[in-house]
Amino acid sequence: MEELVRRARDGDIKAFEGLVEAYKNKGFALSYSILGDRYSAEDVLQEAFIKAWRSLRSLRNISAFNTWFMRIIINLSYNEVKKRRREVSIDDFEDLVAMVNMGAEDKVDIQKALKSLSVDHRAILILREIDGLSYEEIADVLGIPLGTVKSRINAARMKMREILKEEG
Amino acid sequence: MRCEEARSLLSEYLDGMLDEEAGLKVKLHIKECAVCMRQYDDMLEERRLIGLMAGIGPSAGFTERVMSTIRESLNPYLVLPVPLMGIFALVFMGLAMGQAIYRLLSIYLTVASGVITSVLKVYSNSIFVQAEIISMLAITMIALIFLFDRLLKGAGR
Repeated sequence: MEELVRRARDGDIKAFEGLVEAYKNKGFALSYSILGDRYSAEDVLQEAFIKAWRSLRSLRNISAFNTWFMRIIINLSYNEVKKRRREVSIDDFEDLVAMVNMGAEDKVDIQKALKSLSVDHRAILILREIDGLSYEEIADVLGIPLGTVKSRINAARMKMREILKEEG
Repeated sequence: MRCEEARSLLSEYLDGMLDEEAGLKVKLHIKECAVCMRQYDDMLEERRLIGLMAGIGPSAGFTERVMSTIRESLNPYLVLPVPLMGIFALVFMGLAMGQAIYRLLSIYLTVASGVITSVLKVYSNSIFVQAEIISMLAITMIALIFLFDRLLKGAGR
């Protein structure tokens, strides 16, 4: 993977295509979890890849590509959320089921959880569970102290537990 | 370890973030305490649910759309000389009929601009393309000097 990043940074567009393939699903899970619908999530992801291509030359530490790219997605997604001036709407996360195979019960649970969690809580859970980032990496991506990462992940899990309990 | 303390550490325990001693304490506590064990199991279930999100991705053709947008947005300073060279090539062909040197130059310019266009589609700003463009411009200038020289000589006659 580092070889791909190195070649892409040196201007190899084929190598960058390999990076798009490798990171599109992870990146999509993140933008989708923040924005709540697949069209805006895909727009933001596309914008993030284009931005990454343009500023890849400024990336000094090749092994930091993963967190660097996640930070781009986070920033663009949060900007989009700010533009809308709302967190969630009734329709949010309704299209999730069309994209992934899951049981009826899981579907109800995950949609309810995503709709009720805050943007910050959704984002941090995806960074941890889907992208598999360490607490230090999450602190770096979100620009928050390590202590806040610990407490926010804990709070997000507690909140999700409450939400799932509510429905019995 | 008391329940309250154990619960505050469960999340970090789940992520393997606790040091050995604290981790062992939590492990022993949830073994003994059914309520805390239940909470830990709930967290595992949450992890499984969130994990389902790993199965989603953008729609088909996403990579192609991103790549074509990127190719279209390639540095204009590198793309601009290509059509210019095409025009030069045509001008030479028109003006230099009968002169072997100009014919050769016009063929070279046409072929090279085609090569550069296709290379640009693969590499954006590689050193190879930059060097090629500089040499193309140099050859074009030399060709122009030849052409003016010929025109001036023609006018003087």
